[in-house]
Amino acid sequence: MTDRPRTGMAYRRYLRHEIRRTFRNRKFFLFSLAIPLVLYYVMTAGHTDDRIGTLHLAAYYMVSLAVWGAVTGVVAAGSRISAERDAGWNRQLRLTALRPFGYFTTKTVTAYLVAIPTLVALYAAGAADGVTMDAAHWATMIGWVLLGLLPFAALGIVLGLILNAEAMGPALVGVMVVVGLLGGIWTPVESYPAWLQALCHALPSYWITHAGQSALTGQAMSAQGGLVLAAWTGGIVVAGAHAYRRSTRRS
Amino acid sequence: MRGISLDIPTGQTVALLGPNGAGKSTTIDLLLGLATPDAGTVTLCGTTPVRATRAGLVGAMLQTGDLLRQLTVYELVDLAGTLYPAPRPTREALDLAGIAHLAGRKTHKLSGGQTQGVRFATAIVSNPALLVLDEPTVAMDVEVRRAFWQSVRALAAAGTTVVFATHYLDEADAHADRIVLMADGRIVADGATTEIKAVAGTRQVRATLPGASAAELGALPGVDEASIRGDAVTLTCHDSDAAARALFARYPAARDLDIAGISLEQAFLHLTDQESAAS
Repeated sequence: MTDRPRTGMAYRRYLRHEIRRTFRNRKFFLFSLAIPLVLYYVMTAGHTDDRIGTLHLAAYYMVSLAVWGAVTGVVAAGSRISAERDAGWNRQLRLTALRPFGYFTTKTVTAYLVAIPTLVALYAAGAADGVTMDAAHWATMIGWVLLGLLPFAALGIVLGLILNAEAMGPALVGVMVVVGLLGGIWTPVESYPAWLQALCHALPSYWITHAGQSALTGQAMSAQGGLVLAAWTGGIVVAGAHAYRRSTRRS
Repeated sequence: MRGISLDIPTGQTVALLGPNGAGKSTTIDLLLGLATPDAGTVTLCGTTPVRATRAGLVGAMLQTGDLLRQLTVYELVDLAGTLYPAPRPTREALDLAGIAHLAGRKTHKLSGGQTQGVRFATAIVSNPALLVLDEPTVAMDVEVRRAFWQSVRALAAAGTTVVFATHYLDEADAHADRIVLMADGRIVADGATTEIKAVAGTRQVRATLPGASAAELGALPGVDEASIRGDAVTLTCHDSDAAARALFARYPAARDLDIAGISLEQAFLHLTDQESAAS
């Protein structure tokens, strides 16, 4: 027998439900918005004219914390998946017409919707502090950052599918620290020893920060960066598909 | 689970009856494709369980699982409906489950019985050809339970195939066309409700009676098995009326007579004993 076709409309309604559910948790939302913003003002307080490398401090931290906040947001979005799993929801989902592709798409879109307000807030804060770019540069930067978020959104989903709600907290802190240190969020990784730099360059965290800065420094995004992001995204999605199948079993 | 063979025709209402650990939930997991058998096959609506569920032909109320939070009852049932190709209108599902009055309530502010009602609504919103219910009435109060069975019967009357697991003989008796009796991972009996009720309806006659022999007692009419502990005799009977009459006729000294239905667990033990004795 053949499957009855799924209408795009039902799928969009499912997505709308998921989005509404995400935004209804106001505390989650406010924290993911407020923390990077507060950090931005702490890091730049009184030093807006200083420079890190060729960049103004304000510009550097605008880009860094926008990336860091957005990454945190998309990974944290995975924590609701572990809560759903703990409630047995994924077993129930397994009995519906929803395919893994639809599941991952929906979860990715909602994760991005958590991250986007953070990006907007940080760019607005930076602009208010005198960071200027022409429209094309803004567009390139935002485009690359959104693309660079993809492996992290996938990572959030995978962690949510593997870990229970309690383990999700420490895991999230770990991801944030790794991304912060090895991604060059707080200081440029160019100040690290060569071996550590090599490690940084193999991780997507470096390249998403790099992507954010490239529009300001004028350095184009490198092919290596694109490859690293694509490879991590691919690997994590494969792990995610496996984890999703496992998540539907009886706990 | 060993050697389960079960063929359920369209439109039938079947109870999987058995004590905890009998394999009811495992059978349901196999049926739904949530587990795969080590050997053998499961066919659902002419295809594999996975294909049938993806086609939205199956609605299930699992034994475990909480409701999603931060949603109203209406939103949750509506959300569930969007996951199926040809869902029932959300309002209709709520009405059928008897929870229309809870539509605006948040899912974490429900009683146990109301929660079960919502889970039932999410199972039927898919408009399924097969409805699978794993111990659905646990936590339901009497009134909710009655409304629930009324809805199930209405759906069955409209042609929905229903499979439900329970460990209550009464429930299986009242609502199923057919009972599949399970114990220890096997099907020990499978038949019309009345047949199974007779088997599972075994009774025990207890009396105080000094100096009787087990062999003699075991030969009384209606008695399957007799055991003696001190002065206390226990007769396991398929016809407790005949056994009690014969007991008094034969042994006027018998006293403290007590006749009681045995628990399902005991009935299964009894059945499996008989089976192994016969083979």
